[in-house]
Amino acid sequence: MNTETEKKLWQLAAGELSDLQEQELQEMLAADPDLREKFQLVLNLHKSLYHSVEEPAPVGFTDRTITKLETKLSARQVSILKKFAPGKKIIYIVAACFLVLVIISGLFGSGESSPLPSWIDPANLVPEVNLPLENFTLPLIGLSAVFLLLIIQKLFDLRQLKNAGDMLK
Amino acid sequence: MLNDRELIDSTLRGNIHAFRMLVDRYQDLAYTLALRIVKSAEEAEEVAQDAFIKVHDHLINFRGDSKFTTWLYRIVYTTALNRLRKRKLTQVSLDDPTASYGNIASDSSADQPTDKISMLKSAIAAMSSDDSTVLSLFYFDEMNLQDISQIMDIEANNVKIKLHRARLRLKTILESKPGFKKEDWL
Repeated sequence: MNTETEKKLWQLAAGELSDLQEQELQEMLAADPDLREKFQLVLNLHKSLYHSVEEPAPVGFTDRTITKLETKLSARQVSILKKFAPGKKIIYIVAACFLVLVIISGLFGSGESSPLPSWIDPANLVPEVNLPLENFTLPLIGLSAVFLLLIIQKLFDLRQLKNAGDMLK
Repeated sequence: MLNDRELIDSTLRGNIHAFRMLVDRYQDLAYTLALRIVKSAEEAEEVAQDAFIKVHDHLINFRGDSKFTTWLYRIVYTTALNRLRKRKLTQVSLDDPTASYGNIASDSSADQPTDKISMLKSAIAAMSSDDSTVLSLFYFDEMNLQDISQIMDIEANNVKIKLHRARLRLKTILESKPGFKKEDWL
């Protein structure tokens, strides 16, 4: 049997021949018992292939794939977070601003005017001029609180990143 | 049961369980294809897993012009070929018949399956990557030549030729196996 005939046998088994080609081959099969036998072998092979090519994935494949995916996604999120992570310099700058503001508030915010001595006539006094810093005491304290919260948040972010990184190791 | 499109949309909305269902649905197909190419169970699992991760990463690019399975197989196929390249096994031509026949001797000496399905599986495993891939795609998922040509990035006519050659080689391999009895197949 030549290659061309064998090719046609496979095509007949798979239903890939035209009506005319199929008719021709059927006539050849009817006349040749050897060819019929060969066709039977090809047909059985063709049918068996539908049940033979599949290899079932190992047990737990889906779970392991999803775990791998989740690990990769977490790693990606951590690397993105690290890109925008607060640097230690920023924390030191914010902390320094906070300290300066606290000191300024302490120096100028708590000063109360002492009572006038009896020998001074209040009418002769120059009208009191409020120091601007005294007027800003409350806002300064507020600003200090904001800076303090910022420091806490930045430190918290850093700790979270470290924990996430440790989990991935 | 949700169809592929619904599962894809749900995955794109961040639902990992939807993606799990997709993996579950197509794990055998992906694994089989990977195994046919890399010829190692451990590597095939890694390849199939990596392919699914790539699918997840690029799911947004899947427009639905082709079937999801065609797109998935294309990714599995290229991932497996890349793995082969890394192993530098592509120095041996995938179409080189001596490569496939070279495996038969070792395979047949290792174990000689007696039932028909095991014999066929063993013969397929002994074939070259190209041959067994074409057979797997054609017979496992009953893909048409056009789909297979998209996956393997070759002309449909070439697929037809490859399929025909693969069938002939399979028969030759099978007939050369020590346990082969012609009457079992008649």
